[in-house]
Amino acid sequence: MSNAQDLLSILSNAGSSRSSIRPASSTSGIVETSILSFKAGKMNATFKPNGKYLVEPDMRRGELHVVYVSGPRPASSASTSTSTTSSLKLEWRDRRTKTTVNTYWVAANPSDDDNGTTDDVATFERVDTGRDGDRVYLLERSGRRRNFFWMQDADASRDDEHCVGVNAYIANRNEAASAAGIVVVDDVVVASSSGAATAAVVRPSSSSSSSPPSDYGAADDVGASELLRMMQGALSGTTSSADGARLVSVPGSATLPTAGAGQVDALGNILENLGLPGVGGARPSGERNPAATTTTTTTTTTTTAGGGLTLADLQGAMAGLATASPVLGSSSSSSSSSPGFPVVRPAPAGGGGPPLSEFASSDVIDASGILDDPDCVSRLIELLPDGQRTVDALRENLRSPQVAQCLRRLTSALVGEEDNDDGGGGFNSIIANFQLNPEDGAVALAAGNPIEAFLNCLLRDVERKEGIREENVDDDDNDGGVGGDDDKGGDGDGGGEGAKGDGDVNMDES
Amino acid sequence: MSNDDWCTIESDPGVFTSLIESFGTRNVEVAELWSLDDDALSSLTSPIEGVDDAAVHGLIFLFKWQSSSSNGGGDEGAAIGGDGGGGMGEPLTGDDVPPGLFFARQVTHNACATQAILGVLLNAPNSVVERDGADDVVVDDYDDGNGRRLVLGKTLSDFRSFTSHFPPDLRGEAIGSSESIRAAHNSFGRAEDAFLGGDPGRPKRAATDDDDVFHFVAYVPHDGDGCVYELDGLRPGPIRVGSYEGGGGDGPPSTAEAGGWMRVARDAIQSRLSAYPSAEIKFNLMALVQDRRTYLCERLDSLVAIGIEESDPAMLRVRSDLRAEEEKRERWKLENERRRHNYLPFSVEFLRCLAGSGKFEKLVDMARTNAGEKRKRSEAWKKARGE
Repeated sequence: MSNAQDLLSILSNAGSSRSSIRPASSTSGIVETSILSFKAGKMNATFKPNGKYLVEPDMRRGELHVVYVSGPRPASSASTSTSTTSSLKLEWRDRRTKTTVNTYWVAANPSDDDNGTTDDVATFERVDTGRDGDRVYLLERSGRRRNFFWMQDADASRDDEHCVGVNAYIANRNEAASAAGIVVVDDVVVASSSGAATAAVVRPSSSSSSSPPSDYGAADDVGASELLRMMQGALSGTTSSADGARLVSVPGSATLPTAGAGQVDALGNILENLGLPGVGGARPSGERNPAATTTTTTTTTTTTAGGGLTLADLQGAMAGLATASPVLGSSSSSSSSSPGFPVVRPAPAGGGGPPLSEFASSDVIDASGILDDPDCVSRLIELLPDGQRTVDALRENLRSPQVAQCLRRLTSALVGEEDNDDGGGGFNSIIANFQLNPEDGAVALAAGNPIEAFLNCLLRDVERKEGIREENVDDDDNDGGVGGDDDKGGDGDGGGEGAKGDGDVNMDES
Repeated sequence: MSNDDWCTIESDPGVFTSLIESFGTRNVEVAELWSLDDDALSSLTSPIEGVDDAAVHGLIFLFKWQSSSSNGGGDEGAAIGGDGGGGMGEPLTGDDVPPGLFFARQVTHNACATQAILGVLLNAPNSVVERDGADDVVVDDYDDGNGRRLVLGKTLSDFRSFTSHFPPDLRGEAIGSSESIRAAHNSFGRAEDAFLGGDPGRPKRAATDDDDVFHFVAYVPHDGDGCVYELDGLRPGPIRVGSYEGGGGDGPPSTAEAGGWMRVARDAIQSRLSAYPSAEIKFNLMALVQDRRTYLCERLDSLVAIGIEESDPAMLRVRSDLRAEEEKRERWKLENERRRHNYLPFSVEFLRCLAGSGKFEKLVDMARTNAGEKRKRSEAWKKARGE
């Protein structure tokens, strides 16, 4: 749910000097600090029929960040005190689009992560690919989940330093904490003047003028009113720009002081990207508004009304988020940088996407035109059994009962009919195994449509990695081609951005 | 009944033939029978002009319950066989079992297909058995009757002699724990199971429609006493279902006998089936027969020997049949490769290609519509059948 999180993080971080948007993982008090970063690219591992993995670089220019996260544990309504939790994650950010694309939790995390579970054993190590000049590193978690990266900084001399740093922070939470500028007292801080539920206080050590938080009054969990207060606080600009992490802390108040136009704009943009109508009189709705109109409306409405963002508006927007009929964005808005949100229309009553085996029918295949695309054809042929790697065999295979059966089994694994230990296990392990981002399917999954969720994850992944075919065969905007040789998509950063790893990496298939 | 380490395999003639060959056995193939009438049976022994004594080593009858009103599970076989329904004999045990008749109790459910196949192979009349020790039979040195005699192969020959004095349940255990037999069987299991089936160490199993939850019963002629036996692993012993004429002696059974024993078996099967309404049971019938290419080649040779020209229709027919056989084998090979292949990466890549086509929404709609139509048609069909 990257856009929703953008929304919340803008609100919680407004006023800080940080310019990039950082996703927050919950609605109240969570603070994230990047404590180490270096230029690095991702790599994709595809499982080959011969039992090995082929690891290829993703050509996008990016950065790996080690991010320290701290905040209150999500409070239960019964508790009168909250404790802090601290966790650590790595994030891969795309330098071009300035967004965080992947999250890799490496230490206890109270909520979801890229791969569904938390774990405490993680290492970051250089990989010997057998070729000099390769600067490939492996993030391994719990001995099973593996992500490869390649160093992109032209200067290789700091690789070791970065590597050591990553491991040090993973191994030593206090180090990470102090790097984040946070003082943690015994890992559990309870601060409250009135005894009512409060968010834990973490006082930035370098701050000069932050005011201690007063209590928020009787907050009902991490709820809408908390959220609203945060928004109000953020938009009112009460937080001064201090470096390092801060909590938003604002006395409760029902109306909004003057909102900064820029912040409202940003808010409006995000809501618009979500396909929701503009703020201000918003009702949860599924229709997608044309981009331009909404932004204008938003800005106009809120500024003239003196920034009248009400709780109802926000609740409406948030509710709309959860239940909006997602709309296919990519084809209709060519200029938006990201199509916004889930792009598979949910099924009418009867739930979920179509059984995946339906896609292998000849009318669907013909309509898609993929057999006319030499790129698709060659990728598919690669994955056929030895001795059947021809175009004719491809057609036959697509029609074969074996492929239909595999798709059926994939469908039941997603829907959780198989003998898994927990119902959601199928979806998560499939997503993990194919290196997809579960956030892309989170909405559909929450609505009980795992097939749709899976298709959304695939679609978004393809958008990011290979790009969606346009009707005119114009591939210039195609960034992030896997394993490409040429330097396209560059912004003049300098050619020699570190050697990239390539070729077969001998990994045991687990 | 455990399933340790045995996966299910598809009940398909191509799979079974390859399985048999993977044991090292030769001159056998598996053919599916579409009907139980006399013509169908004769076509096995007289498959082409000029050949009327093709070997049929045994029949395998597969059936499974369909309707929800059944008592499913391991009792199916007992329920169907029931009280020896149809007036068949009682299972023979101990000394009553004719000498030389191989019968094994079923120990592992997933191994039932292999077990039934072994029941036929190890009882095949006059098969060539390779023996260890002083009696070594050099493989090229026997007369296999131009393919009419089944060549057991070392693995099965050894197994047979090893278990020859075992009681039936111990024989079943021996099958269950035979490394080579199990490995051959498992090589035909589905590749994606390991990934999609949850715990990779455990062969998955909840029965679905796809599944081969069949019960297998074999029917074999026993030359020693000229009787036909039903071998059902869920019963305590073999059941004599009738006798055929002219059993005994060396050499392949004559035409009359070959036809004869099959008719006896057929009658037994039909009486079993008649006890149940047809809608409740789904069944298949397979025959383990002589490799078709062997008699085709034999026929070719004999035509040449009497001077028939290549252009003669008789010659052309045989050649085209031979080609058809080779094509069938080629098709089986491709299908087996596909069965062994893990299509998961392919399937996901295929979906990705669709996603990247720029028409994904439309394709999803199409798929949904098709699925909906199928559902409607199937419901209408069910209604029409009065369910």
